[in-house]
Amino acid sequence: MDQESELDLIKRTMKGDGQAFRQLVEAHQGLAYSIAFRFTRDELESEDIVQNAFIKLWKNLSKYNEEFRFKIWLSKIVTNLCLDYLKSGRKKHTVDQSLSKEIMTLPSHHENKLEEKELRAIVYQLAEQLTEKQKAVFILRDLEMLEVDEVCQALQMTPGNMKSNLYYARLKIKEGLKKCYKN
Amino acid sequence: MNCKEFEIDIYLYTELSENERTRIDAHVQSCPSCSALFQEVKQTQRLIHGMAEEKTVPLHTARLTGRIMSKIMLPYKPTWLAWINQLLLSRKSKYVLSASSSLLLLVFFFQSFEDSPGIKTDKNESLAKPVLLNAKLFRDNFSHNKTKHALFADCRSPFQSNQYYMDCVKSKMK
Repeated sequence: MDQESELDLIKRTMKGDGQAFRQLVEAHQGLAYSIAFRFTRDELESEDIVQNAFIKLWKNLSKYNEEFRFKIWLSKIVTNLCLDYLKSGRKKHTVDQSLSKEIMTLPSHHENKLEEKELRAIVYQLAEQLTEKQKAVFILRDLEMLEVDEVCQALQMTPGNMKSNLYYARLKIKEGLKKCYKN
Repeated sequence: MNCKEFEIDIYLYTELSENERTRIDAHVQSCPSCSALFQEVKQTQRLIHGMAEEKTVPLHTARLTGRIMSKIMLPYKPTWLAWINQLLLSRKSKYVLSASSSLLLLVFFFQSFEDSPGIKTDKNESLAKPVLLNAKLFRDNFSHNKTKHALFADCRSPFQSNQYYMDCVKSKMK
């Protein structure tokens, strides 16, 4: 969806057009769900977060700043809700589950070569150990592939701060993967 | 510029400008340790890029849209029972209720204190006088009760009802 038609839908929604909002929901709920799922790794929690994000968006639509893309605003709301969820301690899959345990349980034929699927699981495990900011930057920049300025807008960070968090996130994940291979 | 400074830029290679990337490329070609690091980072980024392409979608997209729209289109109208529940269970109302009950208790306490017979004291008199006066009042009241109790003592019985006691008292009064 291009920015012009997006803006048109937003303006129609602000006048109370529910169908216009439905179109916005249908166009962007995939992105919202993807971000939420990368944070929570839980389908039901992700759906709840997406629902709450759109309700929040609907209530605050009058505050919408046309300078920002709709998806950035949505990403910001979803990320904040995900961080609140992580802070609340409702997350079932905790950081305490040690990575080494996961590696130990791998079948024997994987001794020399970890399959990509398992490597991805390890990356998600390693991402659990990042700080909130590092995790948010890693998810939005590396996994959702948002542009640098979009990540900065969504997380209200300076480019320097964003790059610093991204550096540490990538460093920790690379080192974690390296450790897994050595083990 | 030392290798440590190149290291940070190697991790942030995709965020660098074209000129900065050319500078990194030149250094990596001449430095074996930075070259090894560059390969490791590239390998990790390739894996992460694969993860980025793997998008998770909601199981029931239409149902999720429906859920969102139902919350938005229908304004929340609480029933009277829900309203009372909300009123009683909200944190504010808890504070208000506890504060008002404490206030009522205090009012009741002071009111009963004011109703009790006061003892007039003269500032010039010693403290012994009010004590004696109180003792006298107490004795008067108590002795009166004692007589009353003695008069109707034989009416009291743990094996009889209140009605029996009342009838007995009435007969004695006659």
